[in-house]
Amino acid sequence: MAGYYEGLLIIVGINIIAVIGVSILTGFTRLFSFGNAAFMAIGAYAGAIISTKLKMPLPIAIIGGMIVSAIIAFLLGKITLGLKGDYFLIATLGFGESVRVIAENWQAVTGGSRGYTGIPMKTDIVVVGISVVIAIFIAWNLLHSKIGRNFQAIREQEVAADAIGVDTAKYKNLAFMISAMYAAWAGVLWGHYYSLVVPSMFNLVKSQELTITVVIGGLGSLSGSILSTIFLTLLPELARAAAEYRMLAYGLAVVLVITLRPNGLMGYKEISLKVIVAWIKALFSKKTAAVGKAE
Amino acid sequence: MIIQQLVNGISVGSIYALMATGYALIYSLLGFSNWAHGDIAMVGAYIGFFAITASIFPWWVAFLLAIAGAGVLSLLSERIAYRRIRQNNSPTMFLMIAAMGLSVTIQNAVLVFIGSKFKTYPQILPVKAIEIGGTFIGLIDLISLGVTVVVLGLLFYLIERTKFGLAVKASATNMQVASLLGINVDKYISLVFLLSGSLAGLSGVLLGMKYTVYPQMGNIALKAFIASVFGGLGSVPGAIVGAVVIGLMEVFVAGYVNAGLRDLFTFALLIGVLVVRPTGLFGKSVQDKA
Amino acid sequence: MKNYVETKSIQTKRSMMKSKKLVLIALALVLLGGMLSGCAPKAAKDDGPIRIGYVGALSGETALWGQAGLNGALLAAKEINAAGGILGRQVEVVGLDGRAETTDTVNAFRRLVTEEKVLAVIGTNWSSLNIALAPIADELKVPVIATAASNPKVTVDENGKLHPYSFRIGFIDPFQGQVLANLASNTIGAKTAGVIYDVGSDYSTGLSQYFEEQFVKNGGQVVSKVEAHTGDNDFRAQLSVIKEANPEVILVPWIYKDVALIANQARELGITVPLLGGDGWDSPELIDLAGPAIEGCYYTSQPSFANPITKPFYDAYMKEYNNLVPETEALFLRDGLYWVKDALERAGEVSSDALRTALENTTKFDGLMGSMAIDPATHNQETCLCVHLQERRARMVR
Repeated sequence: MAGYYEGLLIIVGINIIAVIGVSILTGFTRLFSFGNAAFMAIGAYAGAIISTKLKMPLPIAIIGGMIVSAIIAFLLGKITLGLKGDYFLIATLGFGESVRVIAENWQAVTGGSRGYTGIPMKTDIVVVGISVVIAIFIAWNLLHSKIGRNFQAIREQEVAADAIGVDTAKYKNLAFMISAMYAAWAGVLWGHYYSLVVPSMFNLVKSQELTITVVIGGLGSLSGSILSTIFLTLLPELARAAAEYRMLAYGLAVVLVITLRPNGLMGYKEISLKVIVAWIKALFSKKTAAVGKAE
Repeated sequence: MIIQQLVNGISVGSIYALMATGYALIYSLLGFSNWAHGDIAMVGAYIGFFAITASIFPWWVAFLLAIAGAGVLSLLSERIAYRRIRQNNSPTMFLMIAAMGLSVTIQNAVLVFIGSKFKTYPQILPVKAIEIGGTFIGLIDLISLGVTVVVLGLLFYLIERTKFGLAVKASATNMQVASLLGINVDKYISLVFLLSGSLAGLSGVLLGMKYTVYPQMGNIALKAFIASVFGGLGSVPGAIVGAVVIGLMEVFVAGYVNAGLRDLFTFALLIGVLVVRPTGLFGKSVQDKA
Repeated sequence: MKNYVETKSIQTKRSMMKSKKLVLIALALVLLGGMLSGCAPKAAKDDGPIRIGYVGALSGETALWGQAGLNGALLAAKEINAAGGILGRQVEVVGLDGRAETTDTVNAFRRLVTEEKVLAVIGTNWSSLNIALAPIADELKVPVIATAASNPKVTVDENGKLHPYSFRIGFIDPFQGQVLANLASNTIGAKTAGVIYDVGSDYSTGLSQYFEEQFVKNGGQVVSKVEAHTGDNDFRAQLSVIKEANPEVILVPWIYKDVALIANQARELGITVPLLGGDGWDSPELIDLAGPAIEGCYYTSQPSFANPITKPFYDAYMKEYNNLVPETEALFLRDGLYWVKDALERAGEVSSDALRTALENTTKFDGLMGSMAIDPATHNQETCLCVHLQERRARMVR
């Protein structure tokens, strides 16, 4: 059954799915939100109810969770996406905290602060692996399509995009909904791994961590976000001795990245064989140049 | 009981107001939300705590140390982090992310190096309550309220009636023009950070006296932040009004409706206001940068 | 025109290739995962030390309890080894940080079991964490012994089914609530009570509920019930409401740091009646933080250092850890280790399953926290200690 390392990879996979959502929203559309953990929660609870009360299999729970999240994201987006950046952020923060409060108080549905227990443990490495592959595939193709280009247009020059006839409101809402759906997907998998959903799992800190992960990986790089997630999820486990310093290192990393290398570790580039080959070539050419000079 | 709740509300609101003011100052100048503000207050609280328990200084010197310490920390954060980001011409959002990173760093640095144990300020003032016709107000509350009013009054004077304030307002309105007119904008930005940090330090000390001192205590700044957004980001009077309103609302919802849903009300109010009046009650109407 | 069309198809092709590459990378990761999970972890030696795991909050807000637990465990292990160990083998304690977070605790538990190959895990003191651990303990077939996790669901799931591998040293909240209610009705003689509870804490909500049930049975009446939330600093709004109802006693089932705030604010508002609390009050820090505000108050707790028979261990702890005052959690771990020793000796063999059976069938284990007898159907047991706070010191009442 799930050994320690397998468990770690499962968590990495779940986090990747959630982060992809944030990457699409924040990295590619430049909408900063602190509500994504709340959508994970919504997905987790919805998925849990579908699994336990309606006795449906996991894929149905995932789709159900995604639909519920999408609807709520759509409604929330309609109200708040017209707000300026900072205000939108606060509105999503408010939304996130409200979801937490509702989850704690709505005992009948969510189990309150006790949490929703007894969720069947259906998430294993295979399920997560397949989910991650599909998630990346969809995201990649989305971002390289016309929709993706519109997202980026909004990111770079929203007013100009508006001027040339791109329906910015619609695309912002679409990005918001898609990120909510990814979050819900991750949330359902989460609930079915821990067999328990507690409101405090999806709080403001979690939302901030998701955003921080995307920032560090590179706003505008999907593979950057993925690598960043893998690194940041595994690091505290592998460096357990320094666990105390983990969050401290996290914070410092964010400050360093954002001041010194604001485009994150990957910037706008994606990982690809070409980049790696070019990098290796550059290393060698420097060597030959040095040799040449010596002669 | 209503009067008691009013007193409670104003007492809570005054702390938020002091914090919100520091927030609003920075927002009005640089247009970003300083997530680390609460943590700077927390550092002030700790400095005050250690200074007082060391028993070398009289309490008022300890307080001044705390305020100065927090101010300096704020100044440093500007010099080291925010200035760089401004110089990189990065989007304003990046300043906020840096602030978030700083917040995590400061909180965890304290957690790791000082420890997570809760600390209380030694009793400089007796934990007494003054009773006025059935309504109780703590001595500490009265004093912190007084201090807040005085400090905000001084701040008002500083901003509205001095040259310093004029320079700050000019820079806030249009940084480029101000700099063209010979105002050393960088210097004033640093000074505003120092001022904001000092206000945070004072808030921290008052919070420490009223409640307890612990690494996460800075998270209360979220309320201040909301108050500032509610009152209009960038408006200092708006922040104060917003803070008092939020304080009162929290108390009344907790007392008469349902404490569990208290935060829900706060956020619903916030979203409601933002939808109706997107720049908050007194906010400046700012266009998104084209 | 032709060029444009061609470029487009090349672009699409490239992006298809890139996405294929990414998919390949993802697949590789999955395969890696599969391989790693099959990796043979450390082999357990048959005559080497018996490894017992500990998971608790070694960092974060509740670290003082987690650290105390680990310290207590290490000290107890030292004592046991000096006296010959268990069944001739030495005991080794392996502690990991669960940070009082579900995710970290679960990871720590898995690591302790699959990588560190521990025989059993002792910890944590939080019900919500152990509720998460219970099904995993069952799955991995390794006993987990909670310390103060007082929610019944830790050992019995919500359908009434027992978690065979989940145990607990302390009492459960329904029992604690009863004791509190009896304390209020009988010792204090109160007919009316007020309650301020933490809606964000299952422990707090549950305890209030159980208190109310018993208090009403005793003929009392809860005249005011208000809620607040973990992380709040200011409770005066709620306390003002309670004050209006004028109860003779107020239940404050919170953690000691919040209790200090609530107590001080209550006194500031002119509330003078005694306050009651549960084992969340139990920490030497409480008196430091709350000062005169909790004079004359009562709380129930797990048997703690207030009991004189714990003095030798208390002294040994102070000596070992440089005059660090121990939390009750240290006592829990000490009893936990000795309980495991007792069970293994009864079982006669060193294996997780034998241990489990022996733990479940404990009829009398005398620890420093009292005598324990486990109910095999629920893994529950009943011992309690009432404490009265007087002149800034805790005194046992019962």
